[in-house]
Amino acid sequence: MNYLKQLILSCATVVVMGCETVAPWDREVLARPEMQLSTDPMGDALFEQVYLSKEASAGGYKTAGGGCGCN
Amino acid sequence: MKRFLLVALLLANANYARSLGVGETAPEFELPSLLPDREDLTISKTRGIITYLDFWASWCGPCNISFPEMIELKDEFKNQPVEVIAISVDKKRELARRFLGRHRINFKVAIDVTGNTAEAFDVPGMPTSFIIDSKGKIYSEHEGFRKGDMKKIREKIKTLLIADQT
Repeated sequence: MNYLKQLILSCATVVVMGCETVAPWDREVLARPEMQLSTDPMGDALFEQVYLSKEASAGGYKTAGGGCGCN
Repeated sequence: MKRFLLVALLLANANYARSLGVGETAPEFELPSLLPDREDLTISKTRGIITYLDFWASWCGPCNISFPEMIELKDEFKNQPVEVIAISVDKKRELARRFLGRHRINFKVAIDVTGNTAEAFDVPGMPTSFIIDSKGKIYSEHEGFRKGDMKKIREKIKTLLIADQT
């Protein structure tokens, strides 16, 4: 059991170490329209406006941008 | 085992450690100009003057907002010891040139195809700008660009100009 736990922990650590951050200057591909999380930004803006009007609250349900590093 | 995991996690997070900060000397660079009639750019040529250094890319949305404001900035300080330099991180020169064609550029533009200069400056996002003082030290760093940001940047440059004159 102890051996199995150590094996799982080691594998998890190796997987975590494999995570790589894409440098901001290398995000050209991530900035392409087809790489965005949403395919319809205008529709999203409309949805947000309607949501704000109906619920009197906004935000908190998605992340910004598609990873180009742009603000 | 615990010690091994700790070391592994530290190594995994090593990418996120940033080293360059305000007050440090700006890294040296020598980059080719993107504009046909201008010479290659080196940071050492800007010693003695205040430099506004902007990292940008043709695929970066906010760069479309920052460029017209940088043109205005250059115009405003054209008689002062202030230099505006834009460094493209595009991999293809043609894309960067096409972007420049949409603006009436009045400042120096270089290209960093390898990304080495952007890496040396620890650029956190696109666009990122640095104000480098006349001694070559980083005075401020600005990540991203929104309307109204140039007002704050302009104030910082004016503060540096006053400090240099006294």
